[in-house]
Amino acid sequence: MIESDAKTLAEQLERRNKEIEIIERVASQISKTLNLDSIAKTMLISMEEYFDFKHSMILLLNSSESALKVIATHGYKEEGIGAEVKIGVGVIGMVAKKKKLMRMANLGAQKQYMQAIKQQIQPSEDTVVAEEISLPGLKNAESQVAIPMLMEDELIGVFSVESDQVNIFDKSDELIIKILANQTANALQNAKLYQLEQQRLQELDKAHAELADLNTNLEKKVADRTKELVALSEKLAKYFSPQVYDSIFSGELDVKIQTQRKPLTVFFCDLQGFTQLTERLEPEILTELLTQYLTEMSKIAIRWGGTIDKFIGDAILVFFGDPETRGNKEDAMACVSMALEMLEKLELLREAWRERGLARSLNARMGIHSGVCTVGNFGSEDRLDYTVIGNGVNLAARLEANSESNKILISEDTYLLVKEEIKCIKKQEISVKGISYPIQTYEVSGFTSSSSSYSSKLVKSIPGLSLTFDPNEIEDNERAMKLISDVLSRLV
Amino acid sequence: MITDEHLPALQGMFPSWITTVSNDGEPNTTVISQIWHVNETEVALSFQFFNKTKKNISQNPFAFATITNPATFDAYTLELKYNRTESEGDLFDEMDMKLEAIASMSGMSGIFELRGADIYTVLSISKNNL
Repeated sequence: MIESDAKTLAEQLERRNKEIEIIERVASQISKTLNLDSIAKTMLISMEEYFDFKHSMILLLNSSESALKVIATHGYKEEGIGAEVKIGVGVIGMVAKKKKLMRMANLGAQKQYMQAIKQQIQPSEDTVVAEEISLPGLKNAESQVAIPMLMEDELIGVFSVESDQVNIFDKSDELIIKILANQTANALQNAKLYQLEQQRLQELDKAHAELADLNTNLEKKVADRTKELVALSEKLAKYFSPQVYDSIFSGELDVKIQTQRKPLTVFFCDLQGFTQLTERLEPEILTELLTQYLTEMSKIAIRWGGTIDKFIGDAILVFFGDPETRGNKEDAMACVSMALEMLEKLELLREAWRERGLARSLNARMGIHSGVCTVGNFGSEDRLDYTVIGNGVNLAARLEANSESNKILISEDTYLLVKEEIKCIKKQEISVKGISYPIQTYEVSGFTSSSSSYSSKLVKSIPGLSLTFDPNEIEDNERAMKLISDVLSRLV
Repeated sequence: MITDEHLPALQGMFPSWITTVSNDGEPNTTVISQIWHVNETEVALSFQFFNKTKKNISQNPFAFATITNPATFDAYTLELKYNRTESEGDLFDEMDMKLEAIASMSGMSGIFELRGADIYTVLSISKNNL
């Protein structure tokens, strides 16, 4: 009796040792890989190889956690991968629901028993009884062990072993299947995490690529749009004075209805007899003439820093002092200097047109006034005009109208600003609508220069001689020279 | 008392018989699908419906049961005494789970409810001599 007990114990010990060895072997095999399928397959093949469990499958909980999905099978006619088992249905479904191992010894008999009850209750009761549910696995299974695969008490899947033989699994089988199932659960979870990570990496890569692509496209789009805008703004620029254009596009000058009062020097220029000229000339010639005239005048205005307000037919309105100012005096000087250069240029242009047979053309009159004007964007929200208004502008126009041909008539306000450097001849007073007092005017005759014979006013007095010499006041040079030579000859 | 020798007979392979007696001495024998193994001294019966056995036991707690080993066809007679009814715990869960598993396969999920696990103390167990 003792001998046989010892023999049984020795057999049990041997079996345990073998089991431990197998567990180690399987565990090391499945931990070698991070591939879900190969872990599952390795596990199932080992079950047959070492324990002769011929039919087994692994199911994993789907993402919605409502069902299990077969991910690997072994020993079935059909693989059945992807088949689903709802939580709570059948042996596997109940194992998943309760997270507890289940060992069934005689499924066939129990199903028959259930079937018998079903037939008994069906005719008498209104209970709607569903058809027998088709589940993955052996249709004629008798024995089954199903084990929940848990990770920290969370169900990740079910491992199931089946047989068409009755009662082939005993309690010791239960234990080893349980251990291996847990090993598999661990390995599968790792693999799943790895897979997720890989997937996320791929997604990140993809997102990164898309972003890079988007960036490139964006850059291209921005470049294209910028190009369009530049082209457009270059076209637009021709309609604006460069100073205004720069101010608008650099953002200094906001395009909205806004005006301010500023001291400006306003220049007005008109071609004498141009209206009659338009009646005589062919439109092509007229256009060429006007374009050349306006182009040349604009160039000069821009060079001197003037803001070309507008062209009105053959008339040009330029002002100095906005959007940029160099100071009242400098602005006035720049304006008069510009006018002088324009006159010189017109002389050349007249010569050129005379050669082309146009005898009387391009005779300009110019007027300049310095004073406070209102400048800014006028108009409606839809159509704005950057311009200057005020009595100062009217006065400049009046000065121009009173100017002689190819002369510059300036107001006293301008004269006071430029008289140190600009030679002027005092002219008549004019009255202007809106201004109550008469305006003293001066005609610009050129730059003063220290080497020039024209110096400023000379007033000297010695006994017997009193001299008041003002070159600006002298209208008849010959008479003046004759007078002085008379004085000289009588002195000798 | 219950040893490894008896375990195959407690798997529900072969139906078992249980005999109870009413208060006025009338015996009742019925076939049940399974007598469940609890531990060395206890077995359990599933309580799903109120039946004659249940009624008799409430009057007289003693019963006899016969189980059969499906591999050897050895039959055993158990002398039992009703102890308690468990409606929760590991044993109850296991019985509930198995019943529900089979029921759900047959499309009868939720129709049967395990009300309790009736636990009997095994007073004696003896092999039948056929």
